[in-house]
Amino acid sequence: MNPRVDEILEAAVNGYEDMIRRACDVQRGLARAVPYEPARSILDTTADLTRDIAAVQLSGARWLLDS
Amino acid sequence: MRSLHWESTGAGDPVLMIMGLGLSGGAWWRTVPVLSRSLRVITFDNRGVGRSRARLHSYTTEAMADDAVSVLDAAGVEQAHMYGFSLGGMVAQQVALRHPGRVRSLVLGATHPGGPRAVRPSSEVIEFFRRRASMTAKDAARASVPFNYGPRCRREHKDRIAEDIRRRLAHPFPEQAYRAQIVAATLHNTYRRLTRIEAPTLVVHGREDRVVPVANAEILAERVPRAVLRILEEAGHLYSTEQPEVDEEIARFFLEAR
Repeated sequence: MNPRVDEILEAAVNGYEDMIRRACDVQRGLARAVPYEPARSILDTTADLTRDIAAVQLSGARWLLDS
Repeated sequence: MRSLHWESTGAGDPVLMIMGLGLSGGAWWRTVPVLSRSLRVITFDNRGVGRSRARLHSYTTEAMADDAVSVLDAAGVEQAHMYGFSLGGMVAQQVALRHPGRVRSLVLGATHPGGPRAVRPSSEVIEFFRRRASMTAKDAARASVPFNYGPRCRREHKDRIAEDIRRRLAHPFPEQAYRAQIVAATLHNTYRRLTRIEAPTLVVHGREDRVVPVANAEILAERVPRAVLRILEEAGHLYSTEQPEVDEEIARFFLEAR
C-alpha cells in the first residue's frame, strides 16, 4: 500500500476510535447521572456494547492495514 | 451486572496482575509471595472466571482492560505497575494504550501483539486449543502439559506441574468464558499502536514456548519504545513454574522502574 494512503487510513481508524471512546464516556456519564434503574443499567450496557462492537470493527480495520 | 473478585496482598507500590486464558487470579500463586515481599500485589479473576461474573458473554481485550482499571478504582489505586501474562499480557497492552496514566511500568509475559504480524503457533497447538474447550477440566489440564511446559520442566519438575494442575482444578472454569476469552485473544490487535506505549516495559518469554512463539516477544520489544527483552532459555509458556527465580527479577524491575 502507498505509505501516504496507509497514513490517511490509519488516521481515519484512530479518529473513529477516539469518537467511540467519547461516545462511551458520554453514555457512562449519563448512566452515573441517572438515579433510576433499569435506565442506569441500560445506559451502562449500551456503552459496553458500543465499545465492544467498535473493538471488533477496529480490529478488522487494523488487520487489513497490517496485511 | 458485572462483578469482579479481587484480592490485595502486601504493602508498597501497587502491582496489578492480569492472568491469561483459562486461569483465575489464583493462578498467580507462585508469583504473589515473591512480589508481595516489597510490593502491594493486586490479583483479580477476569470476567466470567472464578468468582467474577460477566453481564455479556462477548469479550474483547479492550473490555477486559477496562475491567482491570475498574479493579484499580475499587482498590483506591491511581497508578500501578502492570504484569500481564499471555492473554493477560494482551489486556495489559490495552490498559497501557487506553489508560496510559494508570500504568507506571509494564511486564508483558509470554504474550503477543495480535493481528497478521503476530507469529502463530503450530497447527497442532491451535487444534489442541479448539478441542480443549469441550474437554473436562481434568482432561484439559493433563492434555495441555506438553504445550504449556518445556521439555526440561516435564523431565525434572513433574512435582511442580502436578501442583499447578491441582491448583488449577480447584478453580473451575466455565466453557462459555473460555470460548469468550479465545474470541478476545483472536480479535486482539495492538501491533500498530505499540509505539505509543510510554511506560518502561519488560518483555519476558520462554525460548521454548509453543503456545505463543518467542518471535512475538521480539516483535513486542522492538515496537514498544522503552522495552527490554528477557528470554528464558529452556522455558516454555508457563515459565514461572519452570524458572521461579524470574519472579525476583520482575520484582526488581518494578522497584527500579520510574
